[in-house]
Amino acid sequence: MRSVNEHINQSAQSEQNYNFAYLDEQTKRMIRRAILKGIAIPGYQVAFQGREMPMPYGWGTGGIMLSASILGPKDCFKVIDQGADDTTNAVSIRQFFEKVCDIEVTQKTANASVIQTRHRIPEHSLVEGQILVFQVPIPEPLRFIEPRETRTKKMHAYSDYGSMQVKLYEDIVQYGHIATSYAYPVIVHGRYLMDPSPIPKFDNPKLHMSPALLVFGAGREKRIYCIPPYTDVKSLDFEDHPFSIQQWDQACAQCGSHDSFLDEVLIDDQGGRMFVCSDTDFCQQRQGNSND
Amino acid sequence: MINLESNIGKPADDEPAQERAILKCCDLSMLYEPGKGFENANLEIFSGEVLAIVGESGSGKSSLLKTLSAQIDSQHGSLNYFPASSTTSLNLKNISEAKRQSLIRSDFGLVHQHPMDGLRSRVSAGGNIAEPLMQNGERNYEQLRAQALHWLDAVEIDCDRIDDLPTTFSGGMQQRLQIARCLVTQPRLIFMDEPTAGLDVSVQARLLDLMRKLVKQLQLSVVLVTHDLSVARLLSDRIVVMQKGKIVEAGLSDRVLDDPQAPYTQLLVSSVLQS
Ligand SMILES: Nc1ncnc2c1ncn2[C@@H]1O[C@H](COP(=O)(O)OP(=O)(O)OP(=O)(O)O)[C@@H](O)[C@H]1O
Ligand SMILES: [Mg+2]
Repeated sequence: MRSVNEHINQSAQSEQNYNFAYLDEQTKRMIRRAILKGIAIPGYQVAFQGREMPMPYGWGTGGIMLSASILGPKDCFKVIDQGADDTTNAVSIRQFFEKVCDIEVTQKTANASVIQTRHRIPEHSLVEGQILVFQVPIPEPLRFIEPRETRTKKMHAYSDYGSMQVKLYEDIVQYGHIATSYAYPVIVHGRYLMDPSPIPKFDNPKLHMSPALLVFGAGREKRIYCIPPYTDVKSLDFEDHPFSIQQWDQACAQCGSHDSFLDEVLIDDQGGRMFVCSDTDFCQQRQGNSND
Repeated sequence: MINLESNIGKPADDEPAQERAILKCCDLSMLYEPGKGFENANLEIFSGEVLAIVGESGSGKSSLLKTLSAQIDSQHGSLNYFPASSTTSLNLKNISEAKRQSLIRSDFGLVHQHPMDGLRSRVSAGGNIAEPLMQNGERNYEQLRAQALHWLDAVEIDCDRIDDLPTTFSGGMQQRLQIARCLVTQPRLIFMDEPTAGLDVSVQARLLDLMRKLVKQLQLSVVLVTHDLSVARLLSDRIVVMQKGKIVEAGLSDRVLDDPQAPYTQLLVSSVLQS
């Protein structure tokens, strides 16, 4: 691999059109500009010109374009899908970046400088300097209420968010509590309503005052939005039905953790099941295993 | 002549009209294209009165209402609103869009002809009433429920229906629900476009009764568009008659209906008497 990379670098120097991290420099600059704008206006959806990526929409093209624009030769990259490093989606994205920029990759949250994720935030606390890149299927939290883009834009402009609260109201009417448990809407920096992508609401508190930079990319709709480090992020709720996160009666069957997000898995064809951490790296660290 | 007439409607004669006007337009024009819309409208709406805009189809009633309620822009003339909290008026044409929206949200109420235009079809009746309150920052569920129940009761809808979808309601109930949603934020000025059109006569009568009661109880200021003179007679203090985009007559309702001056109004009134 190393030799290929050296070869590519050499080629780049000799004015050939191979480029580090797949995208051309022009495109990366354009995307970085959109990210900077997103950082300047926390939670605001910035439109950008997406590029064709060598995989279909729904496979994280938005996140991949962001990662490709952010990554440098010295970065250490981690990819998770639903918390796991070893699922098809995570593996193929990780291999893609190993191939197109030959950077160091890791499964350890603590070692990574850039983490691309689908549907989870790692359990291990993120620190300053780290960047978390979210793959976003539908960036517009108001879409299900108002299909017209012209209208949702105005709703954002005038903080016209009563209709979002109505969704939670209707939850309580139907179920007696706020049943929304994924893609739970938040207000960023007291201003913009934001869809945190389909992470479980368990992860919402990690968005608040995060030391790491959080960037969100939607490939199909070509939108980027960001939460800069140490930003106030509030999950919508009611005074008498406050926001709360998922809880489990049992601990992780593998590592015994009481405070991580658990997945229910079937263990035989007799209907036997157990609960294990969705964050595979976290779980293995606790069991004393090391992947790297 | 029109301005003289409209001054008759003010509560007392010893203060300048501006002090009690809530909305005022001068030489206001809005034309979609030549002859379509309205021209040179001069109007004042006073606090606590119901002003009816009548006229035949296409005469520009809805266009005037939409312009007065700042939903669409006018081309000429001025439109001034007099907020409760301030002695000076706001020129609705000059303030920023954001400010206009927040003013509309806090001070204006809109009732559409078709109730489902003003309601969310996939949200329960209670949610529909409570939404404007949530919009204004109310975050207490029990409080929202209490308000929803209060206003359901006020518009004579059975409280058991609070969690039902408005699509399961009759037309008359939907219209009453829309009115409840409009009133819940206690707006100062309400704009209604043909709120009783399309309803059966008996349902209409009940709705009119209710509206008359609420207007009195809550001392609402209302601009009401209707082509039905009997609705105007029943609800309004003053009437503005429109023909081909112009205001041809304005005055106290009984005066306009019993002693119409403009030839067009005379025709309008006599055609109602005959039918
Ligand atoms: N959006 C629009 N674009 C172009 N022309 C319009 C538009 N809306 C209304 N008009 C035209 O403007 C004129 C006035 O219409 P308006 O809706 O104000 O009449 P109206 O008095 O409310 O009639 P009706 O009693 O039928 O509701 C009509 O000739 C109408 O065709
Ligand atoms: Mg009309």
